[in-house]
Amino acid sequence: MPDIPERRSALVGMEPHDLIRERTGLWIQRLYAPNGLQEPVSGLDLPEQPNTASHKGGVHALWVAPGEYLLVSEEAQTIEGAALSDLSHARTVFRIDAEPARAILAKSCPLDLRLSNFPPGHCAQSGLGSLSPVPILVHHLESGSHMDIYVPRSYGQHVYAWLVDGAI
Amino acid sequence: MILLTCPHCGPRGISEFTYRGDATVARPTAPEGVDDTSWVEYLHLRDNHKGPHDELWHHVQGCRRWLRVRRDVVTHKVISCCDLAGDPAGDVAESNP
Repeated sequence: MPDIPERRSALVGMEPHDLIRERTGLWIQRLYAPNGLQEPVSGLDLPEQPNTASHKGGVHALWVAPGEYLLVSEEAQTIEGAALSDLSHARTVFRIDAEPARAILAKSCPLDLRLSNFPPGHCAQSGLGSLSPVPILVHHLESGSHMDIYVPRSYGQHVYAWLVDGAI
Repeated sequence: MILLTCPHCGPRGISEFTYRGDATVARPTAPEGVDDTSWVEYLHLRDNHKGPHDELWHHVQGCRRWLRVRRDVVTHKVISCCDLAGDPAGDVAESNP
């Protein structure tokens, strides 16, 4: 299996926070299949509904747009038969317990994250912040325990500081 | 907050979308043969209808799809919203890059 090259945390020099934890070393790929997968790809189970996620063998597949998915795993995977772009170093990922995540994001994210509208296994893209929102992807884990928030890496420190402020 | 119902993502806050102009404007098919007056009209001059209006919106912070929205500009009531790619009249996108 291919290795994920090491990359330092996006939060170097910042205070760790009990509630908001960075997930590092993830294998993140964008899968582009505008006409769907021609044949089933082993190790992959793509979600059928928009704004939902599925997982199989440690690989989470998040719907991001028609025919476009984000694949996430804690270990590097070998996927053959699909067009992938490596985003492992292009995203910073935060994990927050689901309940506080709802409260924090509600402060400046227009998504309706109430459990009835955003149950476990759902994901959604939106913006965080009011003046020039940062693009984020929120994934409510299938277990319902946590939410993962994906942001472009260059916004990592900004979003982290924002989330820490929002958690006060 | 005004909500727009994206055909893919469902009801979302309007701040996720960007207005991308009048959906009824068609780029001249042979620009090299167009006189200045018609070109200015195509580039800059827009009618300001009162009532239902076809507009292009980009779900830029969601699924990033281009949408054709028919909206009453007096009441803000959204009459229809569909993906430009799945729209029979979607050739506006190709002729209006």
